[in-house]
Amino acid sequence: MQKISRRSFLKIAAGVGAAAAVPLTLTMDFKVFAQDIQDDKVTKVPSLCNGCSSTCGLWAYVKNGRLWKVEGNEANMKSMGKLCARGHGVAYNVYDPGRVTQPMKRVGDNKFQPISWEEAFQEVGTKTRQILDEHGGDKFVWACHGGKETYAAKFLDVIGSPNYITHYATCFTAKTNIWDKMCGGMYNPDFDNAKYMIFAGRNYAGGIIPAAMKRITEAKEKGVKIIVVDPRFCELATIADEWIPIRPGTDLALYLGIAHTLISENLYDKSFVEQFVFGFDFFWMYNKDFSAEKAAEITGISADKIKELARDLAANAPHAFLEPGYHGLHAHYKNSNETAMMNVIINALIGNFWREGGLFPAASTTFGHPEDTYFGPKAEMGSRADGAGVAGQYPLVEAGRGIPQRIPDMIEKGQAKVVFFYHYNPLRSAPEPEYQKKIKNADLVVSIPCDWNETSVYTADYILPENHYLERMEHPKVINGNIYWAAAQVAARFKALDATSSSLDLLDILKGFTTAYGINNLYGFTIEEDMAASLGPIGISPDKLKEEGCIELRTSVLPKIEGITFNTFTHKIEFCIGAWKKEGFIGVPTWISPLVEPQGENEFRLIHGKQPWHSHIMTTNNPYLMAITEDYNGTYMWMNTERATKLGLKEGDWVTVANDIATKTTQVHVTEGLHPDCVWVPSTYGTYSDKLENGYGKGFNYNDFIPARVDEKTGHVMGQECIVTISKGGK
Amino acid sequence: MEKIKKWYGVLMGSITEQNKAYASLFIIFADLFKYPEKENYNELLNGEIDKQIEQLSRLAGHPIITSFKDEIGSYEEIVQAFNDCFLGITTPFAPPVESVYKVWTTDDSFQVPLKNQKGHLLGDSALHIRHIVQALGLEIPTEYEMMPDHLTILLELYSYLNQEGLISEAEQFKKDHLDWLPDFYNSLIKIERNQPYSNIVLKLNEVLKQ
Ligand code: SF4
Repeated sequence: MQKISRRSFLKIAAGVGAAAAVPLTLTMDFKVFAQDIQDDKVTKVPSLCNGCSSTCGLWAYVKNGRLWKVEGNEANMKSMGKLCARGHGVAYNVYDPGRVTQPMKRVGDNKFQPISWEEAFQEVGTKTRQILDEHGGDKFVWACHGGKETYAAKFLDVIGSPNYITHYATCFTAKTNIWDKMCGGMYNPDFDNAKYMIFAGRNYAGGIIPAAMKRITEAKEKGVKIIVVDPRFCELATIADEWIPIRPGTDLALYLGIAHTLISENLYDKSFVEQFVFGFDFFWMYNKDFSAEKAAEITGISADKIKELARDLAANAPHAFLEPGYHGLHAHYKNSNETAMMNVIINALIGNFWREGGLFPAASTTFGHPEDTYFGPKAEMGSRADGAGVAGQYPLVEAGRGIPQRIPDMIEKGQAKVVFFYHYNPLRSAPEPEYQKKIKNADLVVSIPCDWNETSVYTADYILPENHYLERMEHPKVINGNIYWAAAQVAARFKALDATSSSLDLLDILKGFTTAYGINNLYGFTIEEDMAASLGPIGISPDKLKEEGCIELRTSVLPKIEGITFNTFTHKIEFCIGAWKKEGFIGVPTWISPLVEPQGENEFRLIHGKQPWHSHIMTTNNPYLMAITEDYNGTYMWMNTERATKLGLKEGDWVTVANDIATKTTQVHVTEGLHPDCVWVPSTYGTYSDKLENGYGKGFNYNDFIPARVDEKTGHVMGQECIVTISKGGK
Repeated sequence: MEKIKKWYGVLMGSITEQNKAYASLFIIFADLFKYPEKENYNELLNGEIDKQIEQLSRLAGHPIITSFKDEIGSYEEIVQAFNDCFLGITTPFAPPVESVYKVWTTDDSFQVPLKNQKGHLLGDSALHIRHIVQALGLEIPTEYEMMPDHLTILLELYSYLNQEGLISEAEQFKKDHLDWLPDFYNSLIKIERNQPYSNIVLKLNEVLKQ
């Protein structure tokens, strides 16, 4: 009889003969072994949290190769020693048996076969090659979250595909697009020195950055005035001096009313505008009739309050700001682009750019890169399948971000044949899941996730699991943005936990895939070599970075009055966007009504936002975070008390939410803390992959109700241009 | 000198035909928790597996009778059952992994909430299996490094110890690492499509308890 069968998993290790005796090093008794390993040392390894895109710095404490403790890194400007609940929960995911534990091949509807990495590479590489040889390299799409090195660009470059698409059109693409066009990039608020802060469309206590909340709280303790404009009494509003419940979709009118007051009352910083603004007169010409009174009619905020906000901003300028916002306003309304423009304009009118207590660009640095190792042929670059940046299609959309909600359409039109999803789950995070499910009609779909997300389960032909972030070393990262910090910081993920090779690093996945595709040595470097090459030009060694966890570079962004310049065509802040004029638009913001309005007694605008213990859909399956959801009835939909009473609803009642795309049921939270025009749901829930055991079937997601629209200027989804009817009952 | 020290130890016991049959029996059971290839399915369907189990268990002195051939449906159905039970495209699912059914660690110094909980990978038991595998000069495939205490590996390891005549080590191993099968069975029967796997676990437990 055979010692070990043909299909045996266990093998005699190479170079080792069959055991002739029981080695003395063997501790056979489990209790003794478990006791012995308690004496192992605890070591600490730096990493960056993967719980949201803030990438807070952390230390992973490790004992016998496993996670012993995780804590925020004091030196990191995002964490300042603290991690939020999500950060802790996501770290523990590493031991979740619900991870995809090895490569999977679809063998039927909802049926997968575990296969080896070797088989996976061969099959995916060969199939991709066959399809692209027949249809052209530009039929390949790489879709990902964005914001980190994915190495995919090298492959796209060789095959001639420009189709690198990120999720931003469903998040905040109007903001980055507009700020770049108007002032050459993003600017961040100086929480430490401001005397007056207005937050609109950004809830730092819900979409948490620990260091930002720390600094806002400290500012509050110093007596700084904090105003929160939000249809919902959000978590940040709980610490604000004032909560202003605006009618959803009308922030643009509020901003126009503030700007009107600043200009008509001569409160704006004329000297700043003269020196650093282009297009002021043009802007004023179009908006001189949009008074605070007019804004009041639209927003539901009194004209006096609007004027007060303008006067307070001016009185505290330049130590004041209208916070630039984030997800809340910048992909969700027909007027999101103009809202973003007005944010720039109000801050410019109070002259706070580069001023203490105002706004500053992010300090940054430039990394090196490993030398090229591929010198073979490259295909001619095709044109973008999503039309981003393409004349006659979506010329104003940033090609670097793309239009992800168009992927099913691209597949239907034959513009996309092979689609790779890297840590991106459009079947849950993009509009209209039933429409997104058409992604499975592509010739080949490959998903590189950590868990069994909906996109993998419903559309992927192959699932190639990437390992948990604590199990891998990654290309270093510049830590900056969102909060003013005078110096750039450099940090990286280092491998903290034992190899769990059932999943692989992205670089190794791409090496295996591209080799099987037939491109040799495209990634002829190790992750260690990549790290060394990246850090080389800034004089940091990987060892030093590993020892310190986070290294701050020289101070490079300090307040200044002289020498201010903006990275635009005129080197000024452009109130009028030239590229828009070229495409036939006015170029300056003017009032634009939301696309849809609730009309009837049971109609509401459906809006959404983050809960402090979840990162949109990323954390929905985390047992620790879902336990918090249970404790706080976190899946409930918020509704204004007066509207609820009219519908005969009380706390916890079941309701049916419907429009022409979807019908869902949920329970209601009845509250004074919400504008009557809307209902609010957390952006987290509605998991429909039942493989995601902890999140499955809990609550619903706003994406269920919105069509996959594309804004003509910046490509966003208009995610809150959505009316639903609500009726009692349904469970 | 180091090498000599390392390999000096208890000499192996003598290997009888009975040991060999007993060892082979668990290789057969180990195979049943791997993805069902068509070939294995056919062996199950035509009764070959039942026959081998019957012969080997009798030779080993632990006779059992199985009728797995009557409990499996079509090939698609067993693939579906494997998915439902172990990959869990539907929930709940029951990973065939020891750590999941045991408290993650008994080391109270850990400062993570999972330390006293069940339901996680890479618990103390997984570390022990990894230790045994390394000490014996064996290797597990990369796809299973995160779960060295996967039932297939445990059974192959148990088989190996018996095959090599390491009988007292095998006994200790059984006591420490094959004691969770009743919990595994209880998880399996909560899954609608649990056959043939729940029966395989029952039979496996039966032979182990003899
Ligand atoms: S804010 Fe929380 S989830 Fe996001 S990176 Fe920081 S600790 Fe992680």
